[in-house]
Amino acid sequence: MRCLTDFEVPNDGEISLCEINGRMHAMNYNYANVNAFTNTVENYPKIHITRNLLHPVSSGDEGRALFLPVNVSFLKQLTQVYYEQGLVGVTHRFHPQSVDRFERYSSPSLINEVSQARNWSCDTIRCITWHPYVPKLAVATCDDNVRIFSGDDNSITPLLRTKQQRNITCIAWRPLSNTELAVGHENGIIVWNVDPNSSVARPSISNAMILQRIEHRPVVSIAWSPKGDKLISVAACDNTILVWDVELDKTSSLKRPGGSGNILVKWSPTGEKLFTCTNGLTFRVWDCRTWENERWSVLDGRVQSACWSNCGTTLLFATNIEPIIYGVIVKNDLIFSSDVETSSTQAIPLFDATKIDIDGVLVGGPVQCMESDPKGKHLAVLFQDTSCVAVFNIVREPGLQLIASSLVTGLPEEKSSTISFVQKFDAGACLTIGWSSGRIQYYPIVYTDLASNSDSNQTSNTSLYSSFSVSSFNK
Amino acid sequence: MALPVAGRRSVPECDGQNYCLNEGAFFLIISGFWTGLYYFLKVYISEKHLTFPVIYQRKVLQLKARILPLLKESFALSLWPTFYFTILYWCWGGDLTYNFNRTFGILENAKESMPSLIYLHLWMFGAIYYFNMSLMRFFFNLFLTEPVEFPLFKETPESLCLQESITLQDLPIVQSLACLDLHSLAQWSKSRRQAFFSLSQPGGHPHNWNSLIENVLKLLNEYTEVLNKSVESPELSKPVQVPAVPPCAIRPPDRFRNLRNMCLTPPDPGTIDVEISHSPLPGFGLPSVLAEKLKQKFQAVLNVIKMLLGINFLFGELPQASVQKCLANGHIIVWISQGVSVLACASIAEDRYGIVQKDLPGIITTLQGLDRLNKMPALARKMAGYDDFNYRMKGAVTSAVKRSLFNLCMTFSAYMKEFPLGKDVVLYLQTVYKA
Repeated sequence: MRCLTDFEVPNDGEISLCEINGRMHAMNYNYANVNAFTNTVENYPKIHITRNLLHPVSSGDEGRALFLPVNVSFLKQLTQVYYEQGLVGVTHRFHPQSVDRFERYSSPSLINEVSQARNWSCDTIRCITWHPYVPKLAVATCDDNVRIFSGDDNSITPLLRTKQQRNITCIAWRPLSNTELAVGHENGIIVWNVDPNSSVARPSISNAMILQRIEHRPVVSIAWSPKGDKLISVAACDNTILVWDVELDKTSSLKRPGGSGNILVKWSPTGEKLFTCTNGLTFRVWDCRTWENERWSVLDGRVQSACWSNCGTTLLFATNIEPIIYGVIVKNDLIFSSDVETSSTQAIPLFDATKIDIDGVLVGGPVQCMESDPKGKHLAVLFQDTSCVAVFNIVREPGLQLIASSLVTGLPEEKSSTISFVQKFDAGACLTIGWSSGRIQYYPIVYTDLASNSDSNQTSNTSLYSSFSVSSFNK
Repeated sequence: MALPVAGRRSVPECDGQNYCLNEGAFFLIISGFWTGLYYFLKVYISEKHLTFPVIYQRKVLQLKARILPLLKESFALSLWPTFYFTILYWCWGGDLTYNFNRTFGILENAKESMPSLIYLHLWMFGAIYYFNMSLMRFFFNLFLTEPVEFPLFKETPESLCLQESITLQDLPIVQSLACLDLHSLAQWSKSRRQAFFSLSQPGGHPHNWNSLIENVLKLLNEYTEVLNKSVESPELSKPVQVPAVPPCAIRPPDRFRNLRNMCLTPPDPGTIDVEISHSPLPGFGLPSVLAEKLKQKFQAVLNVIKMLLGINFLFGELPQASVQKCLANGHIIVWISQGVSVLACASIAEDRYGIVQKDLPGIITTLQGLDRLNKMPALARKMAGYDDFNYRMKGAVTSAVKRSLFNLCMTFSAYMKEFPLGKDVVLYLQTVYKA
């Protein structure tokens, strides 16, 4: 098993900017400019969400600070507590210890624990997602807003904000649509309809669809089917997985024993398989035709993060305890498209990410979040307690392997909070990193012949690409 | 249901008289009639259509997932008839027992009063009745909505195949299942898709695809026509507009189906269609024209009378009703439009003979026609409200059609310019898909 010593860190005082033809380029951060190396990300929006751009969050408790506590009779207290906090509050008043067991969760701390974003509760950027077809980026911030940036400098930045949208956990663009964005938050899901032509900076909630079920809270992960007709959501305190027909507000539920909640759902890019994991030992891979599942379990802890390869047959995952990245080959039931006959019987450990010190930079540790690029050639990994982002090459021939590629470091005081890949990037792959300072960095991984190829020929030749990249990785 | 209770107390002490009425049992038996009637009126008549689940799982799993909610629902729903019955009995129960006693010659029993627990019994029996009925409906739904794989070829002349079943409006469930099958086959089954992209032997004609696309377009066009009608019907005097099909959209008569348009260009403006009309002989023409005119006038007067007297309102088909009927069948359109678009998109890689090409402009134009749904004034949110089924179904249909068009535009984006499409269609596509 390979380990993190294969990585190289940029020199002191430099930050990683891009990777061109397999070679990482870094520059001193005072005059770092990625456009000096490549023009592929020139048109992307420059985003830095500083603290003073955030809108204040109203918690609803401001009024309380104005009043002083007084002594009233116990019965009166109870009535008041009942009006403000309901029955649970009253029981809490009677017997504080007993209620903690019944109280289902305290939402923010629970979300913080299971979230894909690092330091979810404090960092500015909670989640970023690229539109599948156009260069448009949705950014969820800690003030419960979603901003949509597009490359055009003159265009406005729509701000999605509403009272119902509290504690955003995940966002997802709807496939086969230009306008729709699903936002998963503490109490449910809101599917916004953001018209790119309209000049409204704050789209109204009346154009949105609000999906919620009382027992399905807090929604921590959502995924659209690749055809855009179904939406799947999982909640940390509900072991039922809901499949939504969004427009009709209808659900079917997938329910299997194991765990008291689910924390992650990922639809394979081909649409045939679905990955879900519980907050216990088990995770499942569903077949989306019959909705039967394969049950897997980890030895200890729970699956923290996972991602599919582009072909939908390989699943990479990592648990929240061990610093090891595993791979699973998933059986493909469809007769004519299967290259792989059976699922692997056990997960293959691919990479040991134990925390090490490379030239004074701490790297590795348990994984927080991992994403693979749409072409399935690269894997980006965000760690729980170190601030660098590690980029790997995924090699399938002769066997599934992860090969260290580069380390992306930020400014000295910055920590990475969340990562995402650009969905449509002809020249290779482009990793997008949200740093704790509110800065969003693009880290393009460019292959120059691909870039020139895509310039001359609008439709990129995928067969050429695959032959090229395999040879380049195997050398 | 009330029998065990009645049986237990069938011989109450009635001051030595032989027969007297046990009011509790009587109350429960009558309540049984009432609950049945109430359910029949409230649920059975009004909720007729089957609902397809979002995803179809094994039956046991569906039953397991549904049984507890059903039980809860039954208890909640049966509260109302129980409540109504209690009030009704309180008002007219006395008369009822009196009449009953008189009819059967039963002696009055003044002593016995109903136990208070009987209301709980009443509620429970109501709930059990509701639960039974909803379980029956659930099973009915479960077994009928099970996806079926239709054969793609006709084995015997009587047997049904997928292509035919799509337009089978007399058997809505078969039609729905066929549409669902088309949707899933387009998405999942390469081998079954191949049946449409192959030529039949002997002859080498794409019969399978032709019959499929003919039926699909027919269904979609009929749907659009009904929508058009319901938009226009308030003004009766207006002539019925033919749905705007651009001249170049390819909808050849069925006998030309097997000819492929190789160049896919709009008809050459140089050629002029010559309409040959046989002019009727002058001597016989005039009276028939007159008769026709008179008939039209008569019809117009009749229409006005009907409208003025409200006959139309009472007996005719309301425009709103046809829209509602359309929307009740919305799921069919959702599946069909997605199925056909996925199938057409798959053709770019799998269709070796270019069978699908010639029908693409037709498919796009027809799908665009469904946008009419957005122009229904009755379905604007202000009129309908959030929770209205029609409003939501409208959203589902329009969104599915948009996604289908988007998929087609994205897959064929390089060739879009080559398709002969009407101007309004192109404009519409630009709003849906901006590259």
